[in-house]
Amino acid sequence: MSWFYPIMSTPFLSALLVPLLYKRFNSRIHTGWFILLVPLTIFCHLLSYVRMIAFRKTFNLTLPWIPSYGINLTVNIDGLSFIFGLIIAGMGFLVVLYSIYYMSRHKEALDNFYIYLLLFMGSMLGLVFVDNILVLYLFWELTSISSFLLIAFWFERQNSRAAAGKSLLITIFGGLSMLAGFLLLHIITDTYSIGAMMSQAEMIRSHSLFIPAMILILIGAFTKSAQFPFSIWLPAAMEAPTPVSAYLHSATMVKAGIYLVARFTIIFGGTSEWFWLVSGAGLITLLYGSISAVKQTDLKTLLAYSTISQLGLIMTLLGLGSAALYFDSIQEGAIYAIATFAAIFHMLNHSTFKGCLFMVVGIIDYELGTRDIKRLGGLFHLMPISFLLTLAGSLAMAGFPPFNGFLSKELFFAALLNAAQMPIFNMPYWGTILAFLAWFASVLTFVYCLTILLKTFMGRARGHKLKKKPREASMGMLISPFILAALVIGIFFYHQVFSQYLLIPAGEAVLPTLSGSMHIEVKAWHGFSTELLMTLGVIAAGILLYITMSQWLRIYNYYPMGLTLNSLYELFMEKLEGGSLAITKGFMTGSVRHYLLYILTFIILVMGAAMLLLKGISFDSSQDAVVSFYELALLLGMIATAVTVLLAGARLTAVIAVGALGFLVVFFFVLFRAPDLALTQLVVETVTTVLFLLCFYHLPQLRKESIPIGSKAVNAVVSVGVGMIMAVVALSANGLRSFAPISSYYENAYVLAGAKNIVNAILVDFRGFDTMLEILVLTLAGLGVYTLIKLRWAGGKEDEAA
Amino acid sequence: MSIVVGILFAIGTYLILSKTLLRIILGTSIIGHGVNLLILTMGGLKKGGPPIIGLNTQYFTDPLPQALILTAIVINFATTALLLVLSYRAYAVVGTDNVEQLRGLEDE
Amino acid sequence: MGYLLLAPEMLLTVLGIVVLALGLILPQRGKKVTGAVAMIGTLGILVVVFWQFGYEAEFFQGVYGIDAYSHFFRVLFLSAALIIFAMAGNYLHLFSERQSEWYSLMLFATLGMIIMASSGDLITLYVGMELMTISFYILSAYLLDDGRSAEAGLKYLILGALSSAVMLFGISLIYASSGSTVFAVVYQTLQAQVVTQPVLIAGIILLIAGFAFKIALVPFHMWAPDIYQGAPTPVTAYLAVGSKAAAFAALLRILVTALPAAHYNWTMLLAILAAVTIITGNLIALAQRNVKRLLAYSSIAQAGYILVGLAASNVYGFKGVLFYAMLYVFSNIGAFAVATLVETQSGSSDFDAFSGLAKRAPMLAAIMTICMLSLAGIPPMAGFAGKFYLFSGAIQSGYLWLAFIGLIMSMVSVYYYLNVSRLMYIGKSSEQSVPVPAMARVALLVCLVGTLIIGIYPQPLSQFAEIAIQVLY
Repeated sequence: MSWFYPIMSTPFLSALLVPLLYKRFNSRIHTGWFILLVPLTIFCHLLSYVRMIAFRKTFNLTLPWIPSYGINLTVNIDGLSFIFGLIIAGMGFLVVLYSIYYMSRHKEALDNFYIYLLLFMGSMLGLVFVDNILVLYLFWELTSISSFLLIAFWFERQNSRAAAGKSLLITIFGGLSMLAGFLLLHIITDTYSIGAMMSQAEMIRSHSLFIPAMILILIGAFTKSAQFPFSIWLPAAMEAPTPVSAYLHSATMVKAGIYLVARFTIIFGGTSEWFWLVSGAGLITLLYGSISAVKQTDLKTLLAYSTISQLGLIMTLLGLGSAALYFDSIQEGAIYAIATFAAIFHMLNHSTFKGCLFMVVGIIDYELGTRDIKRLGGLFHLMPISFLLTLAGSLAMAGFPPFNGFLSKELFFAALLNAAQMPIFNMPYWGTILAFLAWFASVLTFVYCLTILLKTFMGRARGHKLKKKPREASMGMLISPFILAALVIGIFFYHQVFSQYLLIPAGEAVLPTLSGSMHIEVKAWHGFSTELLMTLGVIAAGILLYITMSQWLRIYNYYPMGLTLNSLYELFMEKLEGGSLAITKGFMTGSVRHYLLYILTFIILVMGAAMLLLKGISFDSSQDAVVSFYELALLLGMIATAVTVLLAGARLTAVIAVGALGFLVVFFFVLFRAPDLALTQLVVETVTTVLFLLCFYHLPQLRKESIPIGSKAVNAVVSVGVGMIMAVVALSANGLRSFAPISSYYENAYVLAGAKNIVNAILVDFRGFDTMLEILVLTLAGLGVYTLIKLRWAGGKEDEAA
Repeated sequence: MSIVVGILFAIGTYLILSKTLLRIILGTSIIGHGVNLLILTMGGLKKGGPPIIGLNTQYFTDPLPQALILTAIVINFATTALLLVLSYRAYAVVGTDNVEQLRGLEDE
Repeated sequence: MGYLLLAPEMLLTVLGIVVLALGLILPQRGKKVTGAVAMIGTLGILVVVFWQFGYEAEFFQGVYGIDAYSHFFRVLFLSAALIIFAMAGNYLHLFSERQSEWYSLMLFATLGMIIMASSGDLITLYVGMELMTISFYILSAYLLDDGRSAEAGLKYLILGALSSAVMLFGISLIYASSGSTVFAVVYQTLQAQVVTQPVLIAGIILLIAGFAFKIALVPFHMWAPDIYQGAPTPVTAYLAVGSKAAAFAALLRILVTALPAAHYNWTMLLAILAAVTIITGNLIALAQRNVKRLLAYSSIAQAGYILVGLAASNVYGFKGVLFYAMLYVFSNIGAFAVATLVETQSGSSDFDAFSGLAKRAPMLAAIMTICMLSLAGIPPMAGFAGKFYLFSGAIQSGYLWLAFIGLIMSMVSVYYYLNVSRLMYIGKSSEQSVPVPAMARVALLVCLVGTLIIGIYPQPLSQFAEIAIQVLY
């Protein structure tokens, strides 16, 4: 047990070693051979749990990380995480093996490739095993980032870059939304542990934040699992090297959303919202994916759309299965639990047959230099093994016996039929329509499966359109798809073993209330049931549609290009940047005047609102001393000089008027018994005026300002506003003097500081520190003037040189 | 008194909003005076004796605002000096005293 | 320890003067020594600060106080200054004649920041802030014959002078309604009053407005992009990191120790400011095509995130503020350091200059990417932990909507940050390599390690921040 952490961290640790290995050995040995050990170790380690999982034992291990916030690296190994772990490690092994032959060690930057791949593998494993939602989020984003890096692996291609950006944007957006949902759950339950949340499921369901949390988390799951309308990144992601597409974009990463939905079923399930959101989104995706897949001509894009539709199928099943939690009685619940079981079963199957198909398409691409079905055909004789592998993969996807897809497809129909008879969630109205739509999607699935198989391998060979001469791939490249194809058939015949050790424990982990009562009858042959009739119908309609394909495919042309998801996405991004630009242009003009206007207006508004709302305006002048004649004269003088500055046409007048204003203030200080201030102000004012006059020499004459009347008026309004607010605030402040006017301890000035002048005592003694700083400020200003004038000389020199 | 402060603020603001650098500098000076007077007002417009012990007056004007004003005067002076020199620099390098023409790089 | 606790401040003053004097005495060629002196001196002072951990004292009747909170920010400012000194090396040849003055001004700015974080009195705070700001006025205009730099200094000065006046006005209003400028005394007086006075609230608004200018909160942010772009890049980095952190430090101390009586009044204001800032900053950053400008706008948004913690006004949020301010030093300076190096080499900080950087300088591109991911708040980088603290603080105070705006806008920010990394990794590349001087390498490494360590193991820093915060209560 204690080996779990070290083994799960091997992907990260070995990623650190990759550059070393690559540098030392790449000239002789393909780096992949070393990497191969990592998933193999993990897979074997996981297998050692299989008996205990089969006996429904679960494990919890904890490693503290940020204990003060309750964030720990707790892992939870149960049926659900176990089956995911096996798929990740197992597919990881096969994909690395395949990549050894697919990725040339002479041409590609293998070190980067394997670092990204290991990073992904480690974070994906972390994602399915951790119990803490924040750590889960961490791994979730790491998978997005590693996926981004892998899609952009061939970054010289414009398409790769665009695709990588798109996928990253959508999945990270979803991840953040999921995080928001997690935080809501944390608010409701006050824990970060999924396990602890499950035990509070009842309470969560009655909380007012239940629906927002559910929707936010579902957005996360839907973006990752490419559900409609977030699906657009997946076809674009096919720019990645094929091993990556097989691994991340069909077998593992896109299943993360499935995992999330399955994991949280126990918390959210049993409500009509969850039921309809999950199965509704799943069904739409299923339809959308299969409708889009049929018209594709690029094999990889076709597979991408088919992945979308298969993911939709699994999602639908999870939604249907969640209904089991609605019922109190185990017998009733168990009927609908078939859907959950089928979801997990199909997820496993999909990983095998889709992985196999991707690898074969990779081989075709590798050997022939194209994957466009218009240029392919008749490869049956040239690549017989590839043909057989494709046969197994595509027929399994189509739901044809004796392949594993047949079993899960049958269960899918069974689950739909059960659900159609469900007495709750409005199903009596919708059930039949649901079943029909799903059946229709299955027909389309059958059609594109035939397309993959027949258009590529049958018909006339079109060798003249190819760059390379077609031949069968090397043995090494065929091993991995062969193992997967063997599994496709093996699961069909030994399904009992798989369901006992893997599927039922996983199903019960999703729906723990049904523990021990999941007896699912999986049979290849159970008489002429409705399910079988549906399958036969699929085959018949599928063949019919395939033959008449050229006639009805034209319908797609009527769909307006502007309304495809992709173009909508692009439009949105364009508008977003455009909008941002417009805001910037409008506000960030670079003009100081505009900036000042915004700032001042804001202050006026906030201050005005505050004063009005709080009824803070008060005029109480009773405490003020009577205004004497001198004061009045001084005040009038100040106003007069200030107005002079405003109206002055010549700069000299303006400067002198400001000087005069300063000297009037000096008088004022004298009048109000502030001799120190008066003296300081006198000195400063004199120096300032001199400075002004000095700078005169260099600054140009004042011109008549040619501001338009409009902005002049704005200036005036804002200025008057500022003045009004200030006056009002000052008056109100005057009105309240509720404390003793003199901070009494300053009267100790004489005793403590031996000074009679209190202001002086404050400056040099009580606040000596401030005064020191003030001196420093002045020094700095001097320094500034000095450096800037030094600049002048430097500039002057350059002028002379020029 | 407060009204005068208000008027000083209004005129100062108007000057700052104008285009010419010199006017802006003058505007900041005027606002500086306004603030100083305001602080003095906050201390209460009382005519106690100057805050010097031993003058035999019954009460003093509050010394703390005076200390604050002193600080403000000094710093205001430093700022004005810098502003003057800097605007000279800007004029020398950019060749205009019109702030409307100082717009940096346009955002793309 | 008594007055010895003020040793770092004093030493910093002396160091600034010594560096200045050295510049005057030494011949032209010997001026490079001043940089070394400044760095070694700063490092020494940092050591002194570490040695003083655990001690605290108050000076001048509460006007100035050294406590765990001051220690935290002393470490922050001094390390930020140190990293910037290290990264600036090569850039400084642009103003070779005045290097010593440059170091001296940076040191004085640091002193101003430290004083802001430790002052317990509004006037001292004001003076400290002016010390910092005036240094920055000069520093922003420091580029020879670059009209943009002179213009940056001028704009900063005009707007800064106004904001100083506003702030002073706010201080005087607070004084008018409480009768003192010492935080502790203001607190006591306000506790004794039954009703909160409108004048006090007006004072708080103006005070916050003054700080909002330094922090560049919307709508006081307008100066930031022009100045960030025009000023010399190391100065910009310090302006973005140091001056913001200092303003936050001072604001936090005031709001907790002087004005909790008026609690309700400021949190709502701050929450709204934070929301507007986050939204505006991120949306505008979307359209930028110049890395320095992009970082400028994004740093507006980053300030908004930090403000979320302040608005939360609980221990979690405050802790988040400190935590984020510290990690921001590493992540943001790291990004700016890369920008500086690229700019020194190619003479431009437009997107084109960064195209294909991964081929020319893989290490620089990797560091830039990691720093940007951290700024975007993607785990396991430091930014995620920081945002986590901030937002959980906000949620606990009931500002759920604020946390959501933060999250949604983080999504937006992911887009533009990754745009840059995408460009670096997959853009077309020229063949020129980017030289990285040894000192800059050290600075980059520190930023990288800081960003990663804080992200992967946030516990120690979080504890440090928590101890610092506890002092205020």
